[in-house]
Formats: sequence, structure tokens, C-alpha cells
Amino acid sequence: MKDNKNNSILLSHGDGGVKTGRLISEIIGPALKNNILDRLEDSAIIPCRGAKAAFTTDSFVVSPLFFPGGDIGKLCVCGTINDLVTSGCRPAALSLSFIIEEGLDINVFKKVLESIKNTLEEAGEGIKIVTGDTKVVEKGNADKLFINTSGIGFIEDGPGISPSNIKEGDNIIINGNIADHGICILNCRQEFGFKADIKSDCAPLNSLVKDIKDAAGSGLHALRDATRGGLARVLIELSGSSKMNFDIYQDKIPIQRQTRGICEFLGMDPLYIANEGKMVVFAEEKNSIRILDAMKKNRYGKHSAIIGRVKGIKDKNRNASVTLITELGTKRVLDLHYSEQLPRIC
Amino acid sequence: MKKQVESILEEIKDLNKNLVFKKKYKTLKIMEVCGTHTMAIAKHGIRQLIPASIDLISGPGCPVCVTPIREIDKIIEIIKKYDATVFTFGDMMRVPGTNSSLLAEKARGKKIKICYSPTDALDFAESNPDKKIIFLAIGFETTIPLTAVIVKRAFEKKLNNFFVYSTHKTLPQALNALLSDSCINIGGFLMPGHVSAITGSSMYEGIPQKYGIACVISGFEPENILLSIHAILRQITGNDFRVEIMYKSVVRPEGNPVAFSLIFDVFEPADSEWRGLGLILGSGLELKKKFEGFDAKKIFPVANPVSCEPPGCRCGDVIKGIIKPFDCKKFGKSCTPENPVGACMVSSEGTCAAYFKYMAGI
Amino acid sequence: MCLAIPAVVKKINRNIAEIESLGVLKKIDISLVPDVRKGDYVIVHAGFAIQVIDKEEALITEDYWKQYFTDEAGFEDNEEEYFEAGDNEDVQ
Repeated sequence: MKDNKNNSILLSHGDGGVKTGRLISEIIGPALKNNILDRLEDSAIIPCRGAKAAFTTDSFVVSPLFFPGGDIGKLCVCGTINDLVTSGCRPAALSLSFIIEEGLDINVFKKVLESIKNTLEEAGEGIKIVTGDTKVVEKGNADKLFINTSGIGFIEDGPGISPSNIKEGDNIIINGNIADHGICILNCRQEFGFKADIKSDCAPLNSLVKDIKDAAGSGLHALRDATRGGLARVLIELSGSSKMNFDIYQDKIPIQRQTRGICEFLGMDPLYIANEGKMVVFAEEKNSIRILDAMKKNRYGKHSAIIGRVKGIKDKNRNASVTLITELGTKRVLDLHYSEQLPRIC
Repeated sequence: MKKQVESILEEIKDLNKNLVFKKKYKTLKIMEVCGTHTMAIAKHGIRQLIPASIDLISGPGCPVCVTPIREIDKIIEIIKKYDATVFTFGDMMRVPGTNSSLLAEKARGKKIKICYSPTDALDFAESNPDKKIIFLAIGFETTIPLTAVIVKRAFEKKLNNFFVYSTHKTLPQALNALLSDSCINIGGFLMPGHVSAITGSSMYEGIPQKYGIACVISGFEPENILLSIHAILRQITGNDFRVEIMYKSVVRPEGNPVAFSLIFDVFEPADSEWRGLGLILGSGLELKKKFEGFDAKKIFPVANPVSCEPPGCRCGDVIKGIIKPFDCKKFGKSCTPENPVGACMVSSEGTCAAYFKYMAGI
Repeated sequence: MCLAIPAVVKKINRNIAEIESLGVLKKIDISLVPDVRKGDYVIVHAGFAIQVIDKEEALITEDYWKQYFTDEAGFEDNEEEYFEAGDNEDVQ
């Protein structure tokens, strides 16, 4: 990598920005290259005795472990289910692997397990934890509790859902307010002393995706959960992989007032702040009102909105890009934030 | 688009057309002095709205951008040598020194904390009497009174573990230095709204008459910026150059006298080096003798580091408005926000960073 | 430079005020605006009020302020409790 002055991994290598992309494309990718991994999808699709299976994995580190709207247990179940359903699969089974720092209160651990159980019930569809592992490390070698979760699901017959299916004229829909998770976590750490009633949007989105599929028929082209790096990162990635331009209307993006308030205090851009229960949907225009209605009826989609549109690319030499249309009607191209967002005064 | 914005734009177009027709100018250069204006202009795409013959250029008003590499090197030396905890604003974290940055030092385990307010640093010092706390102070007149408040408070509380490393700079001296450079050709200034909230408008008196430049103090919302551009055009049309406040809700002619006088209770002017502009006499601020016990530069001496500004970097010309970021050979190639070479790429409000982030591909 | 946002003053206790902006409450330092009163709008920079906003002027020229001037904090019920609970650490 080009960071010649710093040959160590920085926090910004994990924030979903440019450095994360570089770590994957320049270090991890080349080391482990193969035809499935190279697609860099949230879930890998693997042939499995005549059927197709979706397989994904994710690690969860969050401080504090418990926060309004969720905790590390709920987060790990939701994150894995959401990664699975973006491939259009029906989630079947999850694994759980704990790395525990010596000294963790057993009651805290029990509370996390309880939450995992409740979240699985909330998700329904018979999704189970089927295997797991526990390691304990010396005090100071981990921060209380880390969880790794893998998940497997099966792809049912039906139209393929993949970024490569995104088509010119598709509408881009999101299932509600952005940036709540990231700002909620920042707020809970109490480093800045704000008082705001912001809950994480952490949620299992399998039922939402099911409703979307039922309403869409063949009109559903792609799904992606917008987590680390925010809505902007997902849009930029999908624009790149589908080789399509996206127009996003700034005034259509749902965001709640207090979340915007904290962003303004600290000079942060909510488009780049993490979500844990947001699905970005690409669907044919003629189906999109029906999809939107179905999403609004789902408990995780009350504030759903159509936020943009897919444009074709005329000049093949130019990279695909995401353009934000401002409230003044001016345009700016969204760029992957090069580094973690820090509070600023300037 | 809002009706109000549309009507301002119509008037801007009419005034501009007339001025070009009367050969007042071919291209009018308006400099936004303040980096937050640079950001707002880029973020809202204001350049796309106004006539092409009005050229908005960015000035020296991003404190991070004008902080010389030497200061970063020195503070890193201090952290290493004296085991101190440094508090600073997030803006400073990524600024590259000669060999490292605060962010990289933090990754290596050095005690560097990001604060929202200077009071966070003072509070931490009070509750951790066994630790040495340095507040790395940065900023112009808007932020300087805040540092002054906490130094006075530390003095009153007789804290002996709290220190300030001042990189504070004052704007009027820089503007005068800029105006005395014959290369630049500025027809109007958008003056910084929040600096002026402290200093008042009298700071800039003399500039309009002496240099024949319209000076308009602007707020930060698109409407307000457009109104201020409109005001500049009106001044040029009427040949009536003066300091005009278009951000009346926040900026009074007298500024905030309480805050402004605090600055000089605590600090005294000193010469200061500006990245890209060089040494400007009397443009810096150091703690007065009464408060020297809090002066990190005196309490934690370090050898002058061998600092070098990156070769080929044209930040100085960008800050003076002589060239656009696109005109620099390094821009977007060896100099990007991820690996900034020059100061203007470092801060998110730096001219080059704003151009890179918001204007690529349009 | 200088990111600063508008906020309304909800409570004052010596040099500390509780302010609200877009529904978010925060304690800030008001040493730089000694004449500020409850209900005033201030401009906040790095945890300090740096100036009192002239509300009438703001509404004439700057449409943008309106969103800040609609008071829908949603904290009215437990506001007392919050200020007193947090009071001791900050104000002493």
C-alpha cells in the first residue's frame, strides 16, 4: 500500500472507506484469490449438491456492548441475517464464536445470549444457531467481548438478485432513516455530552426482504444492507460493480432530526455514518410504488422512501459515479471518505 | 429551487451582465477567506449556479492548512519526550508532519484525545492531577477566546498539570500580507462570518478604500452566500467599496467585545509562520508572561526538528488564489485526501480537499 | 473556518447553559456571552456560545434559521431531571 510513512494497520483501515477498500483489494484479495471471493459480495454463492447456498461471515466489536436499540448479541444476529438476505436467500443457520476477555461478568454474557435468542425469535423463519466456539483471552487482549458469526442460507428458485442485475431506470429505495446506529453509538460513549433520544436501527431484515420480494415479482434487481461507511459507501460500491450512474436526491433521504443535530454539532456527514438495519433496494420503476407500499407496512420500513434513480452510462471511458442532487438542484459526486470521520471545528 | 434563491440568482446575473458589458471586468475574482465558506460553496454546488465570469477562489482561512509542518513535528516530539496527554480537535489529527501525524501516533499507542470543546481538556486535567495535559490550540479569532477562557480558568484554579500549545493565528495580518502581493487580483472578499462575530466589522475597515475591494461578511447557508455575492456586485456597480455585513443575525459592527478583549488578556501578538504564505509579522499569538506556566512551548522544550515542506507543493499559490488546485501537478495524483502532500489537501475544508471531494467528475 | 450552529438556551446555571439544537440537548459554556437569557438563540462553536443571534434579523434575511426556531425538543417532560442529575459534575 501507498502509506509509506505508516506501515501499520490504522483504525481507518476498518471504517469502510478508501483504506478498507485498499486493504481488501491490495492485501487480502491477492493473497487469497479465487473465483468466488473475487466477486466481493456480502454473501458468497456456492454450488451445493444441485442447490445454491449463500454463505457469509462477520465479526462484531462494539463499545459499549449494550446501547439503546440493541447490543452486541442482537447486532451479530441481525448483521449476519442481513448479509445473507441481500443475496435473495432464505437464511437457515448461523454459527457463533465468542472471544471473551478474562473478567467479563457472567451476567453480562448471559444477557448477550438472551438477546441473541430474542433476536432469532424476532427474525423467525426457523433460523437457528447450530454451532459455536468460545475462547477466553487474558485481560487487556480483547475489549470485553468480540463475536464472530457465520451464516448459511439457501437460494430459492426465482429471479436472481445481484448488483449485476441493476438496470437503467431502476428506482433506488431505502427502508428508513439513515445514520441512527453510528450516531447512537457515538452518543452512548458520552464523550461529547449530548442528550438525545437516538436508538440504533439494528434489526433483522429478512421479513422486510420477503415482503419486498413478494411485492416485486421479477422487478427486484438488487439489495444491499448499508452498514459501515453508510449509505454513501453502498451506493458507490454498487455503482462501481454495476457500472451504472446513480442520481440521489438529497431532500428525499430520510433522516431524523436529532441524528442530523448531532452530525451538525460535530461536522459529520450522515451519508457516511453506519446503519445496522437499512436495506437499499434497486427495483424496476413500474414496481417500485408497490414495493414501497409493502415496505412501509413492514415494521422495519415505516419511513421507506424512493431516494434516487439509476442512470445509464454513455461514455464507457468514465467510471460510474453517484451524483447527489442538492436541494438547490446543483450536483456533486459522492466520494468514498478517505478516512474515518472525526469531529471537527472547522 | 426556492423562489428566494431564484430571484437572487436573477439579480446576480443581471448585475454581472451589466458589469461585463461596461468592461468593469472580464472575470471577477471573489475570494472566500474562510475555509467553512469553501466547504459550503463546494457542498451546495454554488459555482454551478452563478455566471461563469464570477470566479470564486479560496483564501487562507483554514487554520489546519496554514499550520506549518514544524508545529506538528514539535508536538509529536513533546508527546514522545514528556509522556504527556494531548487534547486537540479532530481537524488536526491527520495533518502530516515530516514523518508522522497525530493519528498515526495515536495508532502507536500515544495518548492523544479528540475533544469537541477546549473545556474537555481542562476538565480532564482537573480530574487527573497525576497526568500532564496539553491542549493543542488551533484556530483564528472564533476559537482563540475559548482557549483564553480555559487558560484563565486554569490560572484561577492553580492547575499545575494543564498546558496550552498555541498555534493560534489572527486573520487581518494575513489578509494584509495577501493584499500586498502584487500577483493577486481580487475584486471582492467574502469575509468570514464567525471570525467577524467576535472581531466585528471594524477589523476590515481600510481594506475597501485602500485596495478598491468590496468586503462583505457572509453567513454559511447558500442563500446567504448568494446574497453576499450579490452585495459585492452591487458595491462594484456603484463604485462604493465598503465593509458590509450580510450576516446581521450573528455579526454586529462591534463584534463580541467580551470575547475579543479576552484574547488580549491572555495572549500577546508574535510573528508566525503560515504554511504557504511564510512568516507574517504579528500574526500569531503566544501566552503572556503572567500565564507562561501554562505555555507548553516553555515547559516542554524540544530541539527544533528538521522539518521539511514537501517539494513541488503549490499550496501557497492556491491559498493566495493565484492558481486553482487543478493547476498543481500533484493534485489528484501524488496528492490526495488519503495521502495528502500539501496543507490544502489535509483539512476537509482545505481548498484542494474541497475540490477533490466535491468537484471530481463534474 | 469555524463550524458553528444555532441553538436555543433552555437553562442557565452560572457559566453553564443547557442548549437545544435540532432536538439535541447539550451543556455549553456561556462565559463569552454574559448577557444571554433563557430563550435566547445563540451560535455555538466548540462548546461555547460565541454570540447571541438577533432572531428578528435572522428571520428577515435567512430562511435557513426557521428549522432551528421551531421548538419541538420532545424533552420537556424529563428536562428538569436531566439538568439536575448532570449538574454537580459540570458546574462546580
